[in-house]
Amino acid sequence: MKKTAVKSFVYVFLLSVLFGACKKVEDPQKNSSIISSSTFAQGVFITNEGPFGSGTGTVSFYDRKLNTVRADIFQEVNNRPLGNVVQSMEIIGDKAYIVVNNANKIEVVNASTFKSVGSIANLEYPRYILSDGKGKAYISQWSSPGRIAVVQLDNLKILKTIVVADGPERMLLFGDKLYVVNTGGFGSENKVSVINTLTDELEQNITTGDSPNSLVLDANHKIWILCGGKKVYAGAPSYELDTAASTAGSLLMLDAISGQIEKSLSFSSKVLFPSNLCLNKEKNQLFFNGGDGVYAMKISDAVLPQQSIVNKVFYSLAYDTVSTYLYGSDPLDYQGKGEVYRYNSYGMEIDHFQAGIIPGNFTFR
Amino acid sequence: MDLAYVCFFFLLISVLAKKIHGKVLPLAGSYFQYLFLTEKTDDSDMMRLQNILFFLLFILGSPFLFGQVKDSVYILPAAEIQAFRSGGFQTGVKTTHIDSVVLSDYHLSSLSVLLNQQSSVFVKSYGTSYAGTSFRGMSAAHTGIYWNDIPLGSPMLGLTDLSLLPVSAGDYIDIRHGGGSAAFGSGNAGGSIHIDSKPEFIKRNKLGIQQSIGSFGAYTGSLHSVNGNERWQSSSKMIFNKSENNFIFTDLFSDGYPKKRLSHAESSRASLIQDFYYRAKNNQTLSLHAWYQGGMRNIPATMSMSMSKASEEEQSMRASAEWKQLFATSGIQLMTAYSYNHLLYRDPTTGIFSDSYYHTTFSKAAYDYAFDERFQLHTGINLTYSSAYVNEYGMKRNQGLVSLYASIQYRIKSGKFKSTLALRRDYAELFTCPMTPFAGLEMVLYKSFGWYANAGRNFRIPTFNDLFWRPGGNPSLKPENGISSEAGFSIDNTKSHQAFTYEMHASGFYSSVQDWIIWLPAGGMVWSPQNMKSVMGRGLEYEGMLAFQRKDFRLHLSGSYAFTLSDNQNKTDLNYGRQLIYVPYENANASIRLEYKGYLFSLHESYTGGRYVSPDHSEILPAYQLLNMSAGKFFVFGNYLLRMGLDVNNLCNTSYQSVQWIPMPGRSYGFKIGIEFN
Repeated sequence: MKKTAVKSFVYVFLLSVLFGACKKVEDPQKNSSIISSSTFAQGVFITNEGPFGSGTGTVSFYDRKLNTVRADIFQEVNNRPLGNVVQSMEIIGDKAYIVVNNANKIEVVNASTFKSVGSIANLEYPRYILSDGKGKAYISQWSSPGRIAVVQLDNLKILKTIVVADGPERMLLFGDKLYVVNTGGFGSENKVSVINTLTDELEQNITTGDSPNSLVLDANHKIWILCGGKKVYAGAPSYELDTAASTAGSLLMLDAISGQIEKSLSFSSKVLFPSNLCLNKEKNQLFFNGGDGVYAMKISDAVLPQQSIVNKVFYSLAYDTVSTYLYGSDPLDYQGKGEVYRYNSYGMEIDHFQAGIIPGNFTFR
Repeated sequence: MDLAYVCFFFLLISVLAKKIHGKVLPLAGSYFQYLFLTEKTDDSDMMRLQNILFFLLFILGSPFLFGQVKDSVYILPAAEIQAFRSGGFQTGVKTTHIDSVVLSDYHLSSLSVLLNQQSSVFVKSYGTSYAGTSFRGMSAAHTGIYWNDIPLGSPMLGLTDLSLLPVSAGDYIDIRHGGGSAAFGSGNAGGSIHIDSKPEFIKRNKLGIQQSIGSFGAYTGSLHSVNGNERWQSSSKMIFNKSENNFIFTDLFSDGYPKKRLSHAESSRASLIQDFYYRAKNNQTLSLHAWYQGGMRNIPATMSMSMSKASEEEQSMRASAEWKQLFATSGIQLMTAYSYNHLLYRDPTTGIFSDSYYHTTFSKAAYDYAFDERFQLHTGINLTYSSAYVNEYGMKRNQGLVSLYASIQYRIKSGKFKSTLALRRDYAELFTCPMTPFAGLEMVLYKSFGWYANAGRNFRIPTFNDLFWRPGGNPSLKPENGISSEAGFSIDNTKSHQAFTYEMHASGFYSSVQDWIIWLPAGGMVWSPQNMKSVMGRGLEYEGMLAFQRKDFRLHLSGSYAFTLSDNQNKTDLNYGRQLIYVPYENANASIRLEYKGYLFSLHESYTGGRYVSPDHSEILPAYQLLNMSAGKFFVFGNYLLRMGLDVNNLCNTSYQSVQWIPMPGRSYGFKIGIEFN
């Protein structure tokens, strides 16, 4: 009796396993929301780095008119994630180029629909992409040593790579010259590389302050280069910042035509680590963020600003020439979704909205 | 009464499941929907069938359907010195003892595979790399792992990689659920795993060779010999494994989700394990254990990255010597152990080259004394000294720890009631550790039916990385501290030697950890650890086993279920009140094993519930179910025993993620053959 009970249970078990064990994997749900050719025609793209480790970054879209945010638009349109550490995005013509750092690729999408149209693969820790306006683009890469990849935009083929210095970051084009700031990547560096875009050869490395991280071109054809300064940590037992060995940041003004550094302003604080230099619409006022807030400075000012205009620390800062607002990103705990704050040029908060995990850079359209 | 209790238990789970988390808890919720409610669910019929499979096993796993089986009163063995069971008296503590029969099926596997398939604990697996385990809503750093009493956790990271530990490193494995700092010290807030070897002291010469070949270039070979008599025993094991791990996975980051072959995931490893025991005439025992292991593995890229060139080489050595002397009513144990680990990590693309090592010496002196049949005392002192170096520490770092502990057990003569009080205090140079008391009790209520409860304080000291890593390391950290408690019912007749044996545990637990160490951004790009997190865990666990044996027929059914809530309790945190990441609300296992005339067949299914991967719950990993099958046959020719078997893992070729974006293998096969000579 007992035996039959056990047997029947075993049979039922085996049968249910055979019938029920393997279920079909359902196709991922296609998103039904409507994306038209005008959906992303005007607005602000926020590249969110994504969580540390192996997580994926995203792109959020902020519609200035509707005052709405659309999260993870690449996934929404293309039904797949972008990849690890979405660093930056650049719109060139009618296409947007999304730089995915750890995935060593650039995803190319239609800038208005965000539909994927291709990708540039086999890069080495790409950071930023910039077009020469003549069918080529330059990609800064944190390879070892740092290299700039030259890519043909119509077929997305890499034409050559140019060795610069460690940790090439943002780039700026002036005439036939490409200026690249080399932050040092995983170490320390103090050079701005100049590449001739006609020959795609390195022309020279200009020595700057430590860790140049951003650069802009003002109304007077002057290139402003913001150097963050070097961080050195002390040994046992404190491991705190060694202020004696660390260097303060500096702001340099370079004449774009002569290539000469005409002005060099040093910050007094060694813990400020200024970054994210940006420029207003008239190209006569500079903004940057430091360890204690956002600073503003006229290009005609002889000294560095002493007082911040916003007492909030941002991970990233950018100026939108369309809305004429400053955009600052706050990653909060760096693990969940972060926020984006908007300010006018005087540092008055307009509003704030939610972005993705670690909002890092802004692309305005 | 028993049946009513089980009904109540399931009702409780399903009500909780439905009420609290709705869709996150498809498993427990859907049993009742399917069986008792006519309400339509979104689940497909296939899903329902799978759920029935689980339900069936829970019913089978519970002994209640066989209520007619005559219960025998299980009486605890009479007073005897417990021969220094490590950690002292474990009264009122749920311990899963992995059956030697089950263990032999996993002889060539790693501990991560065994735990994943045979216990309710959650194994967080990074595919071919690291695997860690967490209990009761705590983290992997709150799980203690011991080999013959030697702590295996790295003092640098506070973690142990389960994928590196071969199951055959020990003769049996105990999984101790719940907080255990009073018994084992720092870092056991969730639970602990004990891999132990045990002498048999019988006259024998045994030699065994086992080999297995499998999918993705997997090969494992092992050689095992046991020699001994009533006085001494020597056991030697050699295990070698290597794998290409070039399995096919679905790439979720490319258009159309193409199938891709994993690259840069090769691994190889060799282990040599030697145990030696000598028993002198006057109740003295000498035990020596040594374990050398060396290997390498390439670390593949996650789906979210395009490539990886990272690799690591690891070498470790553990050795211990233990001397025990038993007298009529007392005993002395002296033990000293040494462990060494060297890890070389390199990543040519980022230029990261990390060369790290640690040494730990561990010494123990313990004394047991039985006052009478009722009262027993266990007391002792442990000395732990660790030193570690990695470039980021700037110099070699050291940490010494002195632990003093005592526990006393009281039990009534019939063995129907037992209780234990324990106290432990650890002393460290850099911080003050809390006093950790523990109290536990067990009571037989009716025949084999009883209840148990325990409560205690736990702590975890900061790791070397937490203290000394540059930049960010914080030397002013204090140890984490918390409490844990548990109460449950059990039915157990496994020691009754009947044809039917069954065991069932159902319990509820509560635990909390304050000053949980968490790395937080501290300005710029520097992260620094702080005693900022506070966590409360609570939940329900169920484990059931039913075995039937008659002549050459043996049936073994088992099932387990865990429901875990683990919330962030730090009110200043943005994610206050939210479930911790990578803690599934639900986890379940079911397995069946049949043996008949040398034929062996087993099926095992595991369910891992949905897990949040970001603390703000913006991202969730879906639940998954995995089915594994194994079939085999053994032949006996005189003194030879020949075993052959085929394993099919992930039979349904389920595409799943244990950790986000880490490729996991689909269906794989393994063929094993072994020969034993007695």
